[in-house]
Amino acid sequence: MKKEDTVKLISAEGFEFIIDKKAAMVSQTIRNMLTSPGSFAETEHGEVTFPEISTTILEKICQYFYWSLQYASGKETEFHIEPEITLELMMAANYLHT
Amino acid sequence: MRCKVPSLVDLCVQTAVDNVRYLGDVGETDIHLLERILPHCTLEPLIHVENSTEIEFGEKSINQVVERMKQRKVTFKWKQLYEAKSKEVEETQQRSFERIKELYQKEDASSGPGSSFGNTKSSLMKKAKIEFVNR
Repeated sequence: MKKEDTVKLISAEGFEFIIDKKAAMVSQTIRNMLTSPGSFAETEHGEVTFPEISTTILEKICQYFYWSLQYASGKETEFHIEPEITLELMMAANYLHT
Repeated sequence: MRCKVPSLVDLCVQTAVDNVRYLGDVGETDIHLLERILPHCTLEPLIHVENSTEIEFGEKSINQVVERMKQRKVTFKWKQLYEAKSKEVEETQQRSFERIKELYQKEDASSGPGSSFGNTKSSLMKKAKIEFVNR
């Protein structure tokens, strides 16, 4: 995988998730950050920090990105969400326009 | 093609609705998202949510403020009232700090170093000390 095709998402605790750019673009917010004109640091380095999203939640969000790509390509499985993280995940998803 | 993939927000709302009886503190959750979840609650979960969500200034404060605004025929924005109330709480707290500080100073001045509670002047401090010793 080439470096240009990946992005690094960093959680509140500093945990780094390196995922396909294509997957991250599922989020409208991240898409805007990575594609906006002008040389923003996020666009240049392909790196986005989320100081308000915990590692557990960000991991789940990355899983959703890949699930969403699979779903779009016709593999319609169920996406499981643990009840105890629902509200926190919902707030993060809302922020990410996902 | 992409548009038919359920959004994560929708999936979460669905999960929350399915597990509505486990809802607890919703104080940090956006109102417009709660609007999609709470209507699915029956009485019991609603009571639970109400009890576990922390409310800073409760019904009593609201009723009081409504009454006062009616009496004086004035209106304020929620934000102004919230700020005023926060200030009031802070001032009250500050006053109690000052009072405690004063009591301590009085205490220090009246009783020299190393003295017991025998010659305490402030009755409140005396009582507290006696209670402490007799525990």
